[in-house]
Amino acid sequence: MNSSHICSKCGRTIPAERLVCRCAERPRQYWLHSRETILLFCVLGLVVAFGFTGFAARLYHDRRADLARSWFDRGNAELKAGRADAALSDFRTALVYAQRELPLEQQQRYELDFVQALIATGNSDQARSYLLDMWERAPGNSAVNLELARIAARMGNDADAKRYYNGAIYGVWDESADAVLLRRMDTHLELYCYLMDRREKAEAQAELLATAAATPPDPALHAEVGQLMLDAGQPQQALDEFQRALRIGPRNYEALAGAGEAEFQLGNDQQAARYLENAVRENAQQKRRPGSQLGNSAARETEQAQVMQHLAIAEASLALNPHAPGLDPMERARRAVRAYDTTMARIRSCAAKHGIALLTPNRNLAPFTRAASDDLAVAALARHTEQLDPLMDFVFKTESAATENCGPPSDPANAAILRIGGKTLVSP
Amino acid sequence: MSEPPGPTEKSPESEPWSAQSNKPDVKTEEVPEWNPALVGKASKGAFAERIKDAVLDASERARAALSMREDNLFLLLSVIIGLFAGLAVVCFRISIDYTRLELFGSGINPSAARVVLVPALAGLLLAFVVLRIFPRVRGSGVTQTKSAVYIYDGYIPFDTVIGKFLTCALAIGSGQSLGPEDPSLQMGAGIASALGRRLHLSRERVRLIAPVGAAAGLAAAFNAPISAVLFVIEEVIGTWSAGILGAVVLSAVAAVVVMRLFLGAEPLFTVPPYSMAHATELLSYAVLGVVGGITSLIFVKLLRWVRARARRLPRWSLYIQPALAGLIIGSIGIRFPQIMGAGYDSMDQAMHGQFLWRTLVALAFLKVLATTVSISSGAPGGMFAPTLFIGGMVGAAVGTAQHQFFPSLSGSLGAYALVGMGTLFAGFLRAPMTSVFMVLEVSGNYSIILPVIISNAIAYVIGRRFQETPIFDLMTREEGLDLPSMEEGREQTVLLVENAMRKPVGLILKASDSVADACSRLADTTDDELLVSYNTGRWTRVNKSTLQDAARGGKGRQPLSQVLPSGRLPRLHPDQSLDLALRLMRDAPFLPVVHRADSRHLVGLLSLDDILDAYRRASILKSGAVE
Repeated sequence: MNSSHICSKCGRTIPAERLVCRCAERPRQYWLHSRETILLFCVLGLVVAFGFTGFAARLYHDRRADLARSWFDRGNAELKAGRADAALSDFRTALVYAQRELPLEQQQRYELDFVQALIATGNSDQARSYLLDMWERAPGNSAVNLELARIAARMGNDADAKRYYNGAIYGVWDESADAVLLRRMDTHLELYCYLMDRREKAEAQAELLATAAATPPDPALHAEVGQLMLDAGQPQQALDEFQRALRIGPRNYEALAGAGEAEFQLGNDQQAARYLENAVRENAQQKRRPGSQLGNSAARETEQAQVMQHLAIAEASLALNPHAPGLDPMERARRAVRAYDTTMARIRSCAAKHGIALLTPNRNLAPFTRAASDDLAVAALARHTEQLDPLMDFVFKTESAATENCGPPSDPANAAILRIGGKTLVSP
Repeated sequence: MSEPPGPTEKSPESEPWSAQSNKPDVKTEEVPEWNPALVGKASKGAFAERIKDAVLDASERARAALSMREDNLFLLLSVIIGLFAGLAVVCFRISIDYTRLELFGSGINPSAARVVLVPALAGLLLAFVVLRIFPRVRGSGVTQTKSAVYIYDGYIPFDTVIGKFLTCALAIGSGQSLGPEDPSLQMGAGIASALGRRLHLSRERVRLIAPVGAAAGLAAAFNAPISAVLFVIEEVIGTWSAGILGAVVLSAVAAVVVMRLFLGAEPLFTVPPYSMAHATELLSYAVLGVVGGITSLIFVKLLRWVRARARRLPRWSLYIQPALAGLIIGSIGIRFPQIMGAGYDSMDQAMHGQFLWRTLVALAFLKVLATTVSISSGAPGGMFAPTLFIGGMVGAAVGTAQHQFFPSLSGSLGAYALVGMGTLFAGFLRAPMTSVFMVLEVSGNYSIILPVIISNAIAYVIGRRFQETPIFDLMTREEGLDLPSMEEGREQTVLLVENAMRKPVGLILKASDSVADACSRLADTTDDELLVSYNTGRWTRVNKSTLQDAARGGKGRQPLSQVLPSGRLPRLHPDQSLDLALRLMRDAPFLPVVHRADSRHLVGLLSLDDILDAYRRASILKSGAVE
């Protein structure tokens, strides 16, 4: 039985064993092998490949970042253990992996630690070359400039050191705003110290003034700068700086002591005594405070001793100075006679020990110097106030002679006499 | 015997519709007689058929809507190829690094035993895999891509891609002195070839698709699309073809985008900023060109010599050659680990002045040695990275010397290293255009162009003068293939119309002349064919007898323009090629050669004989020069 028939679509004979015509099947086959289908599969393949590659890349980057961190930590541990050579190798390895895997700031930190390890192992040339490379990449990077400045300073390359220090001060620190102020100030101070070491005092003082301007509003920092100014022989600027510190922190011990010292150097005994008294009081209060570590601080103790000494001198000066304004003639005479007695007591003791000749006072001063008692001498001097200055002049000369032959005075009263004399001689 | 029962005699349950082959008597087009059971079945079948038809029609319509011209498909495909190639290269780079980490550990100073043994043992495994499983992965990817284009109609078996991926990751990861760019190029070409074939592109398109993939692979490997495009045009395709340029660029860009997406946008090297200290510094770059040219020569000659000797060894030695190469490289690597693998980190270090000049020189020459033994041993991998390494070291060494002797003149050391890379690229790989653009692209600094051009040109000239055949062509010929040399192709003299044309002597008629006038002047010439010029710059020709016939036919007073047929002669210009002239010639006995500014001004005539004469003269001159 012939069951084949004609396809109504294409007119061809459909063989008996086939259910449908080939023309009806062809599109399906063609569809499967058509370009569009293959392109669709390509797109699907791309999606899968992207997913796979993304996963692999993530694993890869994570692993490299982990390696960078672990090698860096290992390097630090080696450095702490004193194995600088091993640390160097570890840091190098860390840097290989850190490149392109860690944030730029972290990479720079690794690089700087590596440089410091190089310096610690005596590879300054290599460190410098590495830093120069970093500098070429980021000329404004303050940390790099600072390290370069230190190396240049160590190598005695003055121009480079100053250039890089300035680059560090005015460059970019990758830190918070407060930390940047601190770093900038520290760098200023480092440059100042460098300049002082090189005995370039004028430049150093200028640097200190710049430091003061850049100091963040922190009493301790202002006090630190003030102390440096004091050390650099700038008591007036130091006083300004201490006063700035005291405006922010009125009970800052360093600022009080520094301000007292500055006033003391400036010869303002009254102000000096006021600041120094406050400093002593503040120190005592701080010591009483629970958990205070001040009792153990040797530096603070030394400082406190100096504060006490200067306070005593300032107070003695205030008590002995016959030229202080607002005094009646009797008080002036009393102070002058007390100064004479104090000086004579020292010079006699000094002359007995060292065998020096005593100065002889002017004949006009005899009524005061040879009086039977101090009261008589005071009364006589009060009557002849024109002899006050010659008497005080003799006192200063005698005290100076004693200091010259027997060393600086230990008694604050003698020191005060010297101060008063110096001031009187200096001031017109 | 009874007849088998017809379908109408069977119960519907015993013959389900799904069984297609056992339905000889069921007619889907018509129902012969009324049978409720059968009619139900048939109508169900017809319904299914209609659904099927509808689905097929819909899909056909969708396909028609989606279908595109082959040109457009080619461009779309080039983007897809670029994406696939980029992904493959990303995975390849990751694989290399993972292999290195697994084999040598994560430290930069692995133990001496490991440094020596790992490349040697990996070499044994490599030899086995290459010889037994993936024999096609031996050799240069550039050469194989060229073979695919010029010999195999764009066919690159996909197992080559897999083989290259695996073996090169092992070879480079185990410290063989080879680079990942060449395999990346071939992987890209292989992917492109597979996709092109799968999409049933025409043979011409499949042939062109391999370079498209090659550009994508190389671009992703270098992270530099322009250089990759130029290299493929310069070394693989050989000509600037507008038809393929767009596809090559698209694929290269797509691959680089993928690469940057996964491995970061940073360039291959962190190049320090460049500025020229003084114009006389260019002299140093000229010196670098000379040194780079000589180094290229040493590299080529050594590679050729060692390869020739390695080929003479018995076949069994192929199984141990990569291991021996690994042993040599490992031994060098104990003291100079920088020469192992691709060496990008060391190039970066050299660029940033982290090596002394003695170390730089030692590294350059040890890398020449290591790369030579690696390539000659048959270990799969590329020569690009080693070439850049050697160039970088030579450049940095010259820069260091310059810093030492003329510190006031020297620019940055990184610039010297970078220019050195380009120099070796020009001198050794003999791709001068690519070398210049690669340096520009990697440095991102246009101002470096002058030193690059000077140095590269010198190295290229030295390379050409003392080693006529470029390295890729040498390797191709050693493999017994006769592929076209792109360099020779570039330097072939193109003969122009002006080399063949002769002066326009004889009678030239004007279209405004009357037929009688023209006939009266026919006695002045012996030529049968005469040129006729129009005021519009059009030219045509006329036969003597045609003119005489026209005169005889009473058209003597008519101008020639009315008598002559409307056709026109093609015009030539002196600067056009003879190839074009031949195409235009057809059956014309000669063609007018006219001035470009005034096409009425005839500057010469060109006939077929003139063209043949010109070619003959050129071949005589060339053979004389060769002799």
